[in-house]
Amino acid sequence: MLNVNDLEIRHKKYKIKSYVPYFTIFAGVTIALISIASFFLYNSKVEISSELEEQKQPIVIQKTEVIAETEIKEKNETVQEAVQNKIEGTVAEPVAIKDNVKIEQKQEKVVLSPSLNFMNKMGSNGRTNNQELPKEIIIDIKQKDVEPKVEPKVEPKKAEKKAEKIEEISLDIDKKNPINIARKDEQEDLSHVIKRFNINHNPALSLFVAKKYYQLGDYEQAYNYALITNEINNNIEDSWLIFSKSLVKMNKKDMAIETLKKYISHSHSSQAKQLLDEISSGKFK
Amino acid sequence: MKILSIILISVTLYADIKQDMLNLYQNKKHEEVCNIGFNNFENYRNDEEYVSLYAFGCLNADYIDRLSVPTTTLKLSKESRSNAAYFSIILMQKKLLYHALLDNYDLSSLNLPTTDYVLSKVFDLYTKIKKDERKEFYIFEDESDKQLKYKLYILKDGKIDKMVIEEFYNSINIKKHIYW
Repeated sequence: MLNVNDLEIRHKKYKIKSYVPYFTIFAGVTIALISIASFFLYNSKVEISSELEEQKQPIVIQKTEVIAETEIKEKNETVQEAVQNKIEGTVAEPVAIKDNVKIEQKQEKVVLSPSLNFMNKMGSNGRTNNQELPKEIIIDIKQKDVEPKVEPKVEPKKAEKKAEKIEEISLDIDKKNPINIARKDEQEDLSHVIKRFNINHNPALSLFVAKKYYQLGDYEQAYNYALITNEINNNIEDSWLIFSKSLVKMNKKDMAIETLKKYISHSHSSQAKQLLDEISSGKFK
Repeated sequence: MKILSIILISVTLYADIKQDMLNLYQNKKHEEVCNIGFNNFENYRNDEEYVSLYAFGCLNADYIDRLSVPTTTLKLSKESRSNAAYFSIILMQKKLLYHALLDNYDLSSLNLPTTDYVLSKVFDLYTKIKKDERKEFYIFEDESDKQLKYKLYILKDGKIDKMVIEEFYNSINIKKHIYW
């Protein structure tokens, strides 16, 4: 008699054994797939982290350049989107970037300054600052004084008379020394301003006096009033410029250069730099 | 011979305009520099020295809107690019400040570069104001010189509202800038 039960058990064992190679192959393939998948995932993580580092760099540059906050926010958003698209677990990195940006935004503002070097190149060919003569200004003032007397709407007879008067005045001016006439008016104005300055010691007035004296060619007085202005307030650029120009006119070029250098180191004024260049190159005499 | 003489005349005229502009600028006749530059711009648009001088003339004469063309033209040298950036910031700050004053546009979140020009100084001071502190006029104190003050307000006069910045030194009005 055949033992059917034993045979059935042996048949089952045989069947199971026949499936073993398929199992092993399947297991091997899945392990291989998992390992390949994990390898690619690891690579993508590395790529994302490197991308994040790359994206950090332009933001750092922007931080040093302090570009508008809105732009930085946009950058942050793009970084966050990139991260969320690729992996969800690394959201912590852009948060750190955002914090950095906020800290850097508290830095001082970038100051843009004009560059006037091109004027030095232009001025080297022809006429220079020497054309800034008080004579021109005095002539202008004279013309302004005469011009208002001409009234085109006046009746013809009166107009003729007035025209004659104007001619007479202009003839008088030609005969006399025009500079002296203008100076008298200027002196009167100046004396009023000086009186006001002596009362309230306002640096705006002393600066005005210094400028006027400089225009009139009285460089010693211009120097004195510029000095007074600087003593009252040493942050007025125009006063330092008049002070230095007056020194040059008084043949104290070295002193003017020293003064300007000190002022530039203190204020970084572009106008003072330009004047210093002109004085040191001999364009301003 | 005729062609040579024409070339010579045109070259001397060209040099003369630039030199005249420079002399006018040095004599602080900025408005004249700006107008000459504006009238002859098409002929000299490729000369960056000319364009720069024209732009600085307009800037000092408070013709800020005229800076837009030099800003786009100046690009060939480092100096030109630096000046173009300088002009563009001033122009932008003018437009933003005007918009903010008239339309209550909030500038407090902006952090723009600044310049030594009066508009930039006032713009920086204005951006520090909180939105609920808006007034008819503002008086700002210069950060480097306490005696220097700026008054900013809108002048409703005629068809266009104008933005006015007055400079006071020790309570004396020394300059008035009107923009629109």
